[in-house]
Amino acid sequence: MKTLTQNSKRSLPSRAGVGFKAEHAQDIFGKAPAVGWFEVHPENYMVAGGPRLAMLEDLSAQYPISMHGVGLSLGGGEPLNKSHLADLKRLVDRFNPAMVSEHIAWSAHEGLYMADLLPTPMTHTSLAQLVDAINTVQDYIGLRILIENPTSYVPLPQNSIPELEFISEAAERSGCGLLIDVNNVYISAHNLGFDANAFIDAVPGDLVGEIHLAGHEEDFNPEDNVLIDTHSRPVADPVWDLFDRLMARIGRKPTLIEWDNDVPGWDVLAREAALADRHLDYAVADKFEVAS
Amino acid sequence: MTALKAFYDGFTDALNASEPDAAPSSVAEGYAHRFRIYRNNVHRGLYDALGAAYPTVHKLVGDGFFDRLAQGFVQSETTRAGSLALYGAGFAEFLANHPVRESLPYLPDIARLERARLEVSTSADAKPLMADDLAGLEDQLEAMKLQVHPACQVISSSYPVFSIWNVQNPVEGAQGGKASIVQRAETVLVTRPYMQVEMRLLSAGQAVFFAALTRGGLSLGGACAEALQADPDFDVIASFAEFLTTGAFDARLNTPRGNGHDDE
Repeated sequence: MKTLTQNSKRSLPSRAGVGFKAEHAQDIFGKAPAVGWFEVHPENYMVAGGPRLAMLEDLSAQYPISMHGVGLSLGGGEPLNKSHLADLKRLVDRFNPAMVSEHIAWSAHEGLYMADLLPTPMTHTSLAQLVDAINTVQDYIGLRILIENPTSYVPLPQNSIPELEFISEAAERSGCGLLIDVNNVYISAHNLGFDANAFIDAVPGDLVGEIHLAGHEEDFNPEDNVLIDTHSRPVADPVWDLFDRLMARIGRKPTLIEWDNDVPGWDVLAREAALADRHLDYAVADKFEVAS
Repeated sequence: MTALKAFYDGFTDALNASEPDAAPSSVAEGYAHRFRIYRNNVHRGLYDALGAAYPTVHKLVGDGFFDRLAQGFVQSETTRAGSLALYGAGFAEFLANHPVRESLPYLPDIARLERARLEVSTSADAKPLMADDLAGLEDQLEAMKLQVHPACQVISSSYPVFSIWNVQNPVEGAQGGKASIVQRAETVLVTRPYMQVEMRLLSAGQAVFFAALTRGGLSLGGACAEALQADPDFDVIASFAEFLTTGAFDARLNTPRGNGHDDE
């Protein structure tokens, strides 16, 4: 396993953070709320200048920042887009994020970006390709990254490696860490029919650098019992339970509240983050019976 | 072709297919109907990104028709960047070649104006030329050539695009009902002083003056002469001051003795 530098100047605190939304800027810059850190999607800041970058400059001066990519298409089985990678490096160099992460999903094919996180087949060949892609990113930006477990809606018959083994092996081989999205575990377990508790219990704690929590919804089609990763609601109770279970075993980690659709006012988001902080406090005290 | 390549090709083709029920053969039996979730995410994501870039076009045509326009635009694309921050270049051209132009002839120019606003909002940061920067250079003004600020664009239309945009985007708390729109050509200056996108309607003389200074590469004196020829009422001093106030020019000047802002 390779040794890669963690960001030397800052690190994400093992507390709740939230995704930064421009509509909350007034609350954040006006009230300087006691939130541990903020996450941004670097893709939204891949511009030459102007107010968007100025706002990120202000935010990163006051809080640790995590850059969570959605456009590298690590699992796409083709060479990474060099200009996208260069844009990411420019942002990393300028804003000095405490964490950089991406998905194992794919989102581009032959030059056409598809604005969604699509399912990567899990085979020995695709694993080798994913490891190459992670190595390319880490070498290029000079930082260790985290990779996130996917949300699954459909089983892929070509898969030959179980998901947790696939992402853990990718992390072991590339030296990257894992970002465990507990909501994704819950949704995928429900949609594909595996045991979420067993998955959570097998997560290799020493590889985990961050946790994601989000709300999900049932599909509008009543004939299909499928959950959709909408990031549009509070975190569901069974997801909190899985989170408590994981934290009690591996110890507290930086934990993001993701809320990207039907985004509520700042106060609602701040309360959800405070709730995550309470869960983290209980987890280390080894008492994870939390009234949420 | 490898099995993996076939997987990515098949998935991509089904996502881009015009039939809404398309599904790739790589999905497990009995789950083809769930492919719709991916398809919906991809299309909704792109339509929303386009709507965010062209909010006034969206308002003018309404949700349902905008989705149809977006669907056509998305299907016409052969490349698409991994960042959607500047998504939608080429939408004005797409609209110009679309039948919607017959009922809303000004729509492509509204799209050009919105694209200019987005580009101006995200252009490189640079110090704008201020009146103070010209202090002591009065004797050189006439021969001076100016450089347009990176966050400055001019949109000329044979339709009243500035008026239409303003009616669709009323200032919060502003008094009065909808202004009537006069059918006329309009030229709009789009700039970003103090990190806020601003638009100004240019008079005929101002439009000629600005074009002569920038595209024409004329000196201030030469541009004045052209503007006065086009518009005998053109007010040189007021117009130049307005351009300076709104951050239209770059502070980097090419004057014989420089002004200290070169090579920033």
